[in-house]
Order: sequence, then C-alpha cells, then structure tokens
Amino acid sequence: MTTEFDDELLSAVLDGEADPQTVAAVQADPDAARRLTALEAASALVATPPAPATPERRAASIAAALAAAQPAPEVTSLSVARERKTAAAAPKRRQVNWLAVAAAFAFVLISAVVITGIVGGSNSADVVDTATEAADDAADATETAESFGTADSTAMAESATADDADEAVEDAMEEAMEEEEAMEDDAMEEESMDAEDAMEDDDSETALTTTTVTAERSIEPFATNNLLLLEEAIDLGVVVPVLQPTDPELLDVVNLDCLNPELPPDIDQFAFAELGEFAPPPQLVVVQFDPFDPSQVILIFDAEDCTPVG
Amino acid sequence: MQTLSDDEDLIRAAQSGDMASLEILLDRHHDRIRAVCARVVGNHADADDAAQMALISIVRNLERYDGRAKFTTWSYRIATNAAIDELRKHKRRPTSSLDDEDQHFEPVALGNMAEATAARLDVNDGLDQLPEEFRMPVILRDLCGLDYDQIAEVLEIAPGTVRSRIARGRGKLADLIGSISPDGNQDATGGVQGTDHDH
Repeated sequence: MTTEFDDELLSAVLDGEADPQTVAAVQADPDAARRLTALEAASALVATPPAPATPERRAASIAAALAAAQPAPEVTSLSVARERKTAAAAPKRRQVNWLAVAAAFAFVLISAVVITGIVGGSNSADVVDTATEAADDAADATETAESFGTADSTAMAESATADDADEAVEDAMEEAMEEEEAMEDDAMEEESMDAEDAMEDDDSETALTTTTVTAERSIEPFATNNLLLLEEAIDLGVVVPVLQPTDPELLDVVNLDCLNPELPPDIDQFAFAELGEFAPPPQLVVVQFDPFDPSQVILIFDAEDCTPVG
Repeated sequence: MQTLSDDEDLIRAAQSGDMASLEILLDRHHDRIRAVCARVVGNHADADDAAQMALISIVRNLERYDGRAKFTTWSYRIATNAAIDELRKHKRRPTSSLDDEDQHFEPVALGNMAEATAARLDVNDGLDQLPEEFRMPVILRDLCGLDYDQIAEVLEIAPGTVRSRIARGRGKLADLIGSISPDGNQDATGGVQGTDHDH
C-alpha cells in the first residue's frame, strides 16, 4: 500500500470529489490503483439493493402509517386527570329535591291546621280558610325554593309556618338528602361494578399485566400496537402512549432536564397493556427506557410538570 | 418520473389532511426508506419493523416539515434513527443476520479478483462489522447516493467528518473483502482488523 494516497483521498476519487491531477496520479500508481479497486468493490457491495419487502408487509407498513394519521384517542395528562379526580372527590353541595320538601311541608302544615281547628273547636269554614291560606303559603314557599335555593326558601318557610312545620321540613329535607345520597351510592356502586367488569374484559382481551414492569410476556414497547399504561393512569382513565424515540418531538421531550436517572420508588405500579392497534401520538407523558434494553422502563414522568410519576 | 415538486405537492396536500396524497407519498418513499433500514439492521424482519416505524414517524411529524431540507433528506434522517433504534432494541437478541435471498448479491460487471471476492461476502455481515459511525455514512453514500453535505445534514455531523468516516468504513470493508480467500472462506486473520488504512 502506498503511503502517498490514503483511503480518504482514494475515497474522494471514487466519489468524484478529487481534482483531475489527483485522479491521474492515483491511476499512475499501481498500489493506489489496486487500493482504489478494493474500495470500489466495497462501495459496490454496499450499493447492492437489499431484497424488497413482501407486498403484504409493505402494504401493512403503509397502512399502519396511514392509521397513525387518523385522529387519535384523547390523551390526558396525569396532572389534569388528578385534578379532575380531586375535584370529583371533593364534598359536593347536595342537591335537595325541593319539590318533595315543599310537598311534605304543605302536607304537615295543612294537617296541623286541620288538627288545630278540630281541637280548638273552630267552625269548619275558618278551618278550611286557614288550611287554604296555609296551602297557598306552602305553594309560594315551593316556588320560591325552586327559584332561589336554600336560604330564601327557608325564610319563606319560616314566615309561613309554625315550629312544628319547621321540624317537619327539616325531616323532609333530611329524608330527601338521604334518598339522594342513597341514589348516588347506588350509582357509584353500579359504576364501580361496571369498571371492574370492564377491567376484567380488558384483562381477558389484552392480557393486562399489572405486576411488574419487566412483564413476563414478550412486550415490544416501541412497537406501534402497544401502549404503556400506568396503573394510576388506568385508574384515572388516562391513555398513556408509548414514546417512540425515533420521533424527533419525543427526543426533544426525552432530553428534558427533568429526566434524572432515578429509579422509581415502586416499579410495580406500572403496567403494560395493549389497548389498540395503533398508539396515539405521544403527548404529555414521558417514558424513559433503558437504551440497551427498551423493554425496561427506567422512569415515567409527567411531561407537564416534569415530575416522576409514582 | 418523480420530481421534487411532486413530493412538495403531495406533502402540502397531506399536511392539509388529504389522506390519498399521504398514501401516495408513503408508497413512493417506502422502498427507499426500507432499503436503508435493511442495510442498517441487517435482516428483513427488523428492516420491516424499522421501516414501519419510520413511516409512522414521518406521518406524525409531517405537519412540522417546513421544506427547508429536502424531503428525502428529512426522511432519511427519520429512517436512520428508526433503524438504529431497531438495531439497539434487538442488539441482545441472537438473530441470524443472513436472509437467504439477500445473502449474496449478484456481481454487476465485476471483472477482477477483488470484486469477485466481494461477491462472496455477505453484505449484512460486512456492514455488521463496521462501527455504527462508519456504517451509516457509507450506506447513505453508496446505497442512497447522497452527497457529503446531505449526509452531514442527515447525521448532523460536519462534511469533513462524513468524508473521513466514509473512507474508513469503505477501507474496513475493503480489508474484509481482501481477507476472504477466492473460495469464499475468511482467512485466519479474522477479517476486519485495524490496518494502516485506519486514521
């Protein structure tokens, strides 16, 4: 091998990037010409087109990419989902069935007046008049209660009723609230059962693994038909996409300073699941994988506030 | 004949939500992207996966493609990233890099011993012995036909570095070819070793 022409120069000759004098000099040097031929053979080797994909696989790849262009399921960040959950869990201002309260109130009032009339020996016309007035007042109270809410209706009630009636109203309100509470409990229980059923269905359909992040079954976290879910995300109904490091946007996200290589405190809280044929575009959740073993999740972050999830 | 303006029209339409244009665009570039992936990962199954990932990534990022780089250059960058990811993903998995139908290429107008020997060398085996930093520029140059500036753009390295790495990659492959005897067996030196051609 000549020492006058190195591979870089010869490679430049091969690529047509050397000046004519250099090309002539290489051709005149037998060692350089021999090495140039060897480099040319290497170049020709690489230039050999690989066998193409099968038509089926080719079509599948294109179809997968087209599917990725379709509107994706809504992806909600964990922080937003947490806020929603917190808001939902906060004590709700109870909605009272004021119609029931007012009806009960009117019934008690009329009964009290009638009883008072009988006991007091008033004539029947007075009793009827009084009862009618009381009923009118009760109707007013009902309308006002529907229009203005608790405080106003209570005031109206006070102006129109006696102490006994107040108690009756309170009892009725309590009953109405208890009834509503019971209905809410029933609804929640039903919802919970539905959710459990749905989870069971999911388990059977997707082989959801919730025990370990390493997942005993073979998973391909970068594959397009797999989604990574956090257990919390499942609980919150948040769709968490797998990040694909080939996505430039994801690389930007993954390069955030917040990604310190800390291990999560409880890795068991993560779960893998296949939720659909294609993953939605990654958005708000960052998943950091072991670059040498992508099946291993190192950390999962909420991309909104850069805090590790868990 | 496909022209750049064709691609630009398709891209604009696809960016506006025209799925038919997007499909044409993907169909047009699939084979090119898949070829790069195949040479990088060295087997068909992984090449198909990497190509699919690359196409998906293209679709997802097409909205942000602004035309400053040529679409081919932009898509090559995505394809090489997808292929590298696929490669790393399966690095520890024992795979056969040899695909029967792709094991040995048909020599095209080869008239000398070196080229005849090259014909006995498996392309993927040869590339597999190159460090990644040499392999990528060589593939982009010799398979894709990109010039040094385009390769520099795809790999985000300086053109001078591209030139150097292509030379070193080819040099190593040439040494590998030279280490193979005419009967197709690799000699006792083990093929690619550091040589005085390395810089």
